Amino acid sequence: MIKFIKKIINSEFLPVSEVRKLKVYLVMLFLFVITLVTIPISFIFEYSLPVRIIALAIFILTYSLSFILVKLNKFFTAIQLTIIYSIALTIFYTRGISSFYAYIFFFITLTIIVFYQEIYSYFVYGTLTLVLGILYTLSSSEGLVVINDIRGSIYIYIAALALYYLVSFLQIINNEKLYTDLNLEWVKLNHVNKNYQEDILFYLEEMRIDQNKTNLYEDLEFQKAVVEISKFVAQQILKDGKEIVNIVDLYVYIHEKGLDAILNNKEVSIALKRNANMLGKYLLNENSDMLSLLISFYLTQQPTDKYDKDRYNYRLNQITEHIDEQFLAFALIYFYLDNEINYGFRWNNQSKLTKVEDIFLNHDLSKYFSSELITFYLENQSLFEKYAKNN
Amino acid sequence: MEKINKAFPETKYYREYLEFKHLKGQNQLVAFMVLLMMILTVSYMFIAKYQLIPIISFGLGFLLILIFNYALTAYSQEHYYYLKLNKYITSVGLFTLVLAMIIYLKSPSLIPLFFVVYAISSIYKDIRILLIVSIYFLFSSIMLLINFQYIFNFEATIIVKDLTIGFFVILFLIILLLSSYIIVKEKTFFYQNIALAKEKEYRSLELLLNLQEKGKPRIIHNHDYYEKTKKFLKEFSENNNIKDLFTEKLIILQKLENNQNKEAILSEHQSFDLDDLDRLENLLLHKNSYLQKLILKLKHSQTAKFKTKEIFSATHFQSFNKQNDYIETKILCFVVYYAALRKGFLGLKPINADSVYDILSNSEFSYLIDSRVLKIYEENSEVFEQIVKEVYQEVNEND
Repeated sequence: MIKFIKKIINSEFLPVSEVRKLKVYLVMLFLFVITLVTIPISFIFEYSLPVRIIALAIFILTYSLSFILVKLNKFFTAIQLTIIYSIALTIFYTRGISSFYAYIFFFITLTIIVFYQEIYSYFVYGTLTLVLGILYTLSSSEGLVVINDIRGSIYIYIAALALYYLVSFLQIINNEKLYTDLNLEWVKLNHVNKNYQEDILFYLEEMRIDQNKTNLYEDLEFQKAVVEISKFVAQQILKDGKEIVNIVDLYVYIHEKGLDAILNNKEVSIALKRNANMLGKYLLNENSDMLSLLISFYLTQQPTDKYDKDRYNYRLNQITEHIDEQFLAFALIYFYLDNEINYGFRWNNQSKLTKVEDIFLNHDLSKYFSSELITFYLENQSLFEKYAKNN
Repeated sequence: MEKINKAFPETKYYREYLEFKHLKGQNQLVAFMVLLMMILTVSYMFIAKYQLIPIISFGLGFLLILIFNYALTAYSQEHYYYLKLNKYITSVGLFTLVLAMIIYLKSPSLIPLFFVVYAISSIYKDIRILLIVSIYFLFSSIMLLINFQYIFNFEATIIVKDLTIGFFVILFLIILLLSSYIIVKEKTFFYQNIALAKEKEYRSLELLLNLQEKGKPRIIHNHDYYEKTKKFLKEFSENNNIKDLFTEKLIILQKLENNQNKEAILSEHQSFDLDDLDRLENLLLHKNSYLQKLILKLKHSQTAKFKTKEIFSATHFQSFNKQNDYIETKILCFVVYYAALRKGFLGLKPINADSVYDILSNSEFSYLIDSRVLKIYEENSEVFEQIVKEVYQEVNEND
């Protein structure tokens, strides 16, 4: 339970799939509490005993099914099932009792649907809940009004429910757009950082060769340290450190033979291939997650300037406000990049650039250059090309 | 310092910037909902033939919230904190107004408006606001139950009335708070990761410039870019009938590139001063200059086009704690990571034990490691260190 609460508190460090799992668990916890409370409350409902028993049995069965789906990692189906479950519970309450408290159930159900932040699910199930809520309010007015109530109070109930539905819907749409934009920006930045990493690794590999160091995965001291520490950790978690030694051997073997060679080898067992595939993300001789996180660690140790608001702005006018110097700098950048592309620079693997225009025409140049400079480039493109060819 | 900003303290500023950037749009949505509530309230009171004074009072109440909202948003151009203040004033103000409406109109039909206000406040995606509104919600409900019991005198009474009031209000509040909390955290996930990626990019650029300066060049730049630019800009000036302002500056750049003494340059180019030379120095190509930084940025910002499916792929989240990985993989990854940092990775020096512990245990890096593995490391870091010292014959630490 403590682990679960910690997970909720630190959920900003979890990937989207993990958060979705967390949401299903939370909703299931609520439904469990509500179902538990429903058992004694159902005695005051206007249902006959067999109906009550059948309804409760269906609830328990559906709940168990949701639980199995979560265990099988079928989160999308589990989400749908828990939403249907909460709507069914609402209907059970509203058909069995006529009061303000049954009315609140529509808000609870809408909140559960909003919680998943799935636009289509909200549209389908949320609208259904709203319609059911309005029908219930109109048909159960005696349970919702007080003596000497204000005029048209029933319509206020309906308006409040509709407003709640509307606010939630707007919020979901807003979140959907926000998260899509943020996700896109994040993925773009990850790609860019991966490009930097490739260059960093190139230079570091050169440094390693200059220093006559062996590759880390070939270093016997390193291998021994990994085996010893892994055994120590595994003994405490798995109570047996033997299996981990095989995994370490496999990890080193993948570096030597290559992941594809192991995966394509028909003599290797499926279990071993599965392990190899899992370890493939963390190799030391590729631009992998392992290397990325190692570089990240080294970046924390690197001395850096104090933060200022222009830290992440890469604009030419930050160097000079003089427009003639900006023209000059732009031309220098252009010819420098042109030479890199044309004369053997090993461009990053993801890019298929063949000419310098690919950089200048594919970029949002306004991030780097003023409008005068962009106009200068576009109006003199042929002159730029003429000098670029004239190497 | 909080754990989240330990490894890269600068990320907190960019996260704030992202908050500010998106808060404006969220605030517009809130203002729209306040306006809608104002129109509905005033319209209802007119139709229900209430006296003019309460109609004007409640109308003014909503209007006041909107005026404050508008004014504080305008002031936020001066300082971000006005927009932060605005969130609190709008949320609490709206909640107070609804409470006043319930007390004045004495009808339980207005109580669901609390839920509506809660939902409106949650648009701001701020945990503090949600906590304040939740506490306000709870105390308002208790106050109404104790002091205004007649509001709950329903025509059809049920046996377990008091029990259900308490249960449902608390249950609803918990669901609202927790769901909003997780949604807020989802937003924080992206803000955090974008800020982290931005900072990593900044530091990667710095590292790359250093490596480029020290290492062997990946391409031999045997072109005289200054000379080529000089010719290019000369023709450009001639074509456009403008004075050639560029040649002299390019000559100075060539002299700076050749490490010519600045005093000597100034004596030859008397219309320039030391500030001019310092500024021009940033335009040099071969050094660790800002221009090189810009070139690297332009070069590396080229990314392959990616599919929508990839955008939402969990593979972008780098960690040693992936949901589908076996525990053996998680253990091995962490150990390899630790051993590599202590050994020194590629051409880089080993990181000292204290720094490794500090970052792995007390910073955002700790969330990238399986909690069981991390706990063992935290409790037995001396054992880890002992093994490393015994196995590595020479650990050349960068203290």
